[in-house]
Amino acid sequence: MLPAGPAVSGLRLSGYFTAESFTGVLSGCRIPEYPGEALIIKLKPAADFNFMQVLNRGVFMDHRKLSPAEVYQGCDVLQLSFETTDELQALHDLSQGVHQPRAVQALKFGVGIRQHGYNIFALGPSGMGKHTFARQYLSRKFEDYPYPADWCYVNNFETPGRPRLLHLPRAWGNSLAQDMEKIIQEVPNALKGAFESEEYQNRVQAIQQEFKDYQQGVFEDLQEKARQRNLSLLKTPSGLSFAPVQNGEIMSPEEFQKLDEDRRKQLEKDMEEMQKESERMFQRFPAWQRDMRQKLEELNHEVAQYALGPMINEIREKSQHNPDVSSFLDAVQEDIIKNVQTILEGDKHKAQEQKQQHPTAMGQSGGREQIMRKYRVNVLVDNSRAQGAPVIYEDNPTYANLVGRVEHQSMMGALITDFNLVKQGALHRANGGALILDAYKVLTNPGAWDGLKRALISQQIKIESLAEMFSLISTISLEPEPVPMDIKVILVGSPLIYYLLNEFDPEFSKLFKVAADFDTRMDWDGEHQELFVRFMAGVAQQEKLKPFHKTGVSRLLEHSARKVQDQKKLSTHIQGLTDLMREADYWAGENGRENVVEADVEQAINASVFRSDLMREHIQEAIQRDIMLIDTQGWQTGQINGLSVMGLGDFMFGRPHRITSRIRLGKGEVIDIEREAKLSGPIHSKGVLILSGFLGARYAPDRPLSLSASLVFEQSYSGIEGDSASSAELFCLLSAISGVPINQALAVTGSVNQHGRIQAIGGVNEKIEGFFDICRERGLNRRQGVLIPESNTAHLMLRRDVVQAVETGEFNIYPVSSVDQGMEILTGLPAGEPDENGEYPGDSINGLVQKRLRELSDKRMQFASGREQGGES
Amino acid sequence: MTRDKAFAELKRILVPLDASEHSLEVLKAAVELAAAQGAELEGLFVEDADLFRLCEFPMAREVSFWGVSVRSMERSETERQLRIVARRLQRALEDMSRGHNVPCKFRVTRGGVPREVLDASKEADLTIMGRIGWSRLCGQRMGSTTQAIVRQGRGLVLIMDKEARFQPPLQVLFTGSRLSEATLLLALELSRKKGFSLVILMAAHAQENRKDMQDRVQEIVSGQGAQAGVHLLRELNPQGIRKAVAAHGTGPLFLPCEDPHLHGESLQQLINSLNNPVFLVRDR
Repeated sequence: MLPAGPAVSGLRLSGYFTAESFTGVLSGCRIPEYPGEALIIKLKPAADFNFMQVLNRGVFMDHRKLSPAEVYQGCDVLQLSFETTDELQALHDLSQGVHQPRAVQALKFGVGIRQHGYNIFALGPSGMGKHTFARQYLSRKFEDYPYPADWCYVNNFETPGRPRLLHLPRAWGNSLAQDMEKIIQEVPNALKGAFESEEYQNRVQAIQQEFKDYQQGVFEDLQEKARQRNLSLLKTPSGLSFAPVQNGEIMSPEEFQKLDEDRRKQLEKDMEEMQKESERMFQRFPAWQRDMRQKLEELNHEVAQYALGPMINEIREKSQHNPDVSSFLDAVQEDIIKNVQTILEGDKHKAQEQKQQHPTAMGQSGGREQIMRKYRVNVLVDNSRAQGAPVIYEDNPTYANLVGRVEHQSMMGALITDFNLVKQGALHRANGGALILDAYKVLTNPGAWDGLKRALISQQIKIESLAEMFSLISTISLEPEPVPMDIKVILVGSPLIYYLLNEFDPEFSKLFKVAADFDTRMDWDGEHQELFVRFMAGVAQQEKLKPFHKTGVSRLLEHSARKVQDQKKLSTHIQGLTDLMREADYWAGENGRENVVEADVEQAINASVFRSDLMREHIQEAIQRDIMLIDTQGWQTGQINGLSVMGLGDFMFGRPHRITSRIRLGKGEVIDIEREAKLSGPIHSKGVLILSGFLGARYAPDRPLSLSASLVFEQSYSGIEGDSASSAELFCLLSAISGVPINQALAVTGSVNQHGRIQAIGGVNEKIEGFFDICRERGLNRRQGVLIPESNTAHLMLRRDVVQAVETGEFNIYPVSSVDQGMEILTGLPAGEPDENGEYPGDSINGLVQKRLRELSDKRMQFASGREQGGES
Repeated sequence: MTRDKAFAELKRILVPLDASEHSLEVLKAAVELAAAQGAELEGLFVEDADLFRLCEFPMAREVSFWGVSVRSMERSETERQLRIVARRLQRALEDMSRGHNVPCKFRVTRGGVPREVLDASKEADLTIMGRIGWSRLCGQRMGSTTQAIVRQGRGLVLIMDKEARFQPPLQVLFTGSRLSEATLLLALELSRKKGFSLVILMAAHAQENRKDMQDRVQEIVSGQGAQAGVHLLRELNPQGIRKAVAAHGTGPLFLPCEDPHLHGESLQQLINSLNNPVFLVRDR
């Protein structure tokens, strides 16, 4: 007597029962409200129906089980139109091979927009190939960008502590540096020739003699005037004086006193006049000296100009009268002229240094080379070989490696420096293009983050030491002229870093306005599969691996889907893919194959798992030896197999847990022993608290929930987090309340909400496999299986052996969407539908729960009433 | 023939110093010579007694060359400044001597400068004088102290110009006298030590003496295992000597000062007319 029509199309009677077991429909049927919900028809048992007999036999109704095709999305090898990857047009560009629409759009936007602050943060888990992706994308993009300029530092002849910056067209830097080296080599000889010429020496002597003659004339004049006044000119330690003379000798004071008064006064007057005369004459000395120096300078200028002019002008012509270069050349010429004597004496200095065996500063050459260093050109950035705008990746972003540094050399115990020791940083190299940096490394290198931000804010690269930046020291050092900066910085990092920076660094959001979010997965469709397979071919070529046979490629694709736990997606975790391809290539070699086939990939996967699954093996062994108690057959009240997943690095595996529940009269509380013992995380605690809400709302909406229930993960000694066991806990609780036993051949995963809906969880494949492994060890009996949230069905990419067991019916996977559905599968009893008064059928699970809760409520009221009466008496 | 005992060895060289640029240049040459001879160098600084006498005049003033200030002269201040000058000279002497491993000492005396230098030179085997010190400012060719040494000094004296350098050839005047033989021996020894060539300016007035003098020169030179060129002087007077010296460059000239032409005013004129360093060789 089954109702006809589509509503019952999903219902199948169990093989254990016949229609004759039932006399008719007990209370109608409940039409499913949402996809996947079980269709429940309440049948009236026949008079001779023995409920316990049913329990001992097995499930009451046969709910929908997943087919092999639903638990694994295989790749159709026949659809692959190649034999090996060698036949494919390999893709080496990750940004083309892997579909990352958000990242591509963000990069395109970030690079395209020239305004300040639109730098890019590429976020995603590690191993996604974010660096490579960004570098390859940007390199392709920047090929057509204008060539960046060369940057050089030259001496600032006015303020040597502030080296001057030269901004030159591409490839000019080295050329100018070479020309200046030639000047450095040739100038001393040219000057020597000019300044040692007889003509020059004669002119110098003439100028000097002029001054000497003047000086001599002054003294002769003074001496003569003194002599006429009977005075003698005496040289004192710091000048001269006049003394009265008598008979050619300096007069003594006694002799002076013997003179008549007029004579004495005359001598005193004469002495005073001579002193004033001397004073007047000497006042002219500085002006004469200045005059002489100026004449010498003019002469030097004239001679040096004659010697240097042609060489300097040659460079000037070559640089097409570039104003910066011309200004630098003018300064060089002027300085050489000022320092002619020092340059000419350079060899002498060198000889003296060698004689005194002093270490030389700034290299070992000393002497003239030391003097001529200041005319060099320090090419900070040479873009002569650039192909488009630069895309630089700095893998060690220390502060100095980013913004450059001023090096020092030891000279006789002191550290000295000059503009030649200014060294470039990554920001200099990337100027005009893009700089890719690892966010974690930038943040963990002292000062690097602040230095980078400062450069981005000021749009200038200012070289200063860390100690100076933090004002730890204030020594005299170089302050090179800042370099104007035009760079797109691409920070690559994890989402955690991105969100932390966003939250806690107020400057971050102003400087990195573009987030390039890298997805961990992409759609598995024909178009993306083709590009992805070509990218695999590229990896095989680049890594010099054996060609991958299409069966191998197929297995790689399936594994990729398994990695993201989705039948319709592929993993974009490039490092994992590359590692697996390398390992499969190794096994293919071990197996003596020319191409990598499916078996090699499988072997690589298994070997990789084997290398990591020691802990899993230990846990499974403990379960097999009943050290950890897990039942896989029989029926138990208030006990269920929950499933959890453990992660050890990259390796994840599932394991069953025994969850038990006990109830007693109480005040409506569900005690989570894990939480009480502080062994559970907040999400797990939340899941348990939801159970109270569900119980109260469904079974005791109008009376106090009068039980005290306890839930525990048995033999769990470490923390538990997540709500994926909340459905198992609810089933266990309902079993304990109703007294209906739960089939121990089944395990459960899934979270539950307050309305009794089963919700998706993570790690579904590992959880199923964890329970499957235990069951297989103990022997599969066709009754074992796992209840999973129906919404997790699309995530199933189960191991081959599990798929095989599902195919043969030795292992079952039940997609469930509601608590009722789950309870029916677990207990074999109908869940029961409430009537218009909210009353559930007495023989249904819900009815039994409701009945038990009412009993507890009544007892509680009786207990309370007894206490009141007792109180009154 | 053996050398005069007085010139046998130059063990003690005296350098009077007055802190002028010229004086320090002479010190440099003196250190080199002392190093070549293995002699001890003695620096002498004389605090001019005239300055202290001047300080006693209330109207005495000092005019600074570059400061353009006039200060009254105080004895204590003058003494202090002279001590500073003396310390500076001593340091210069010690630094230069150390560089050439020459033992040295430094002495400060007070008195008339020419007198003090003359007295000190009596104790020295060689006195090295700058041709001119501060007097150069007044256009003189020779300073007053050097004039006194040239005119009154005894023993061995070297007069040097600031620019003068020891360079070959050495030149030596040979008159045939005992003193000139000793001078020739001294020049031969220095030429050997320095590796310089030697030119002998032979004053043979009469034809009959010439052969004897040549033989004698030959005997002395070969006796020392050396070689020397000979330049015959037509006449032994300052003009003749100057002409001959000019023909052989600016190397040091050794003069045995016994001839009447090589004394007093005429000797001073001869020295003034030469740019060469001049060794005056006289009996003590």
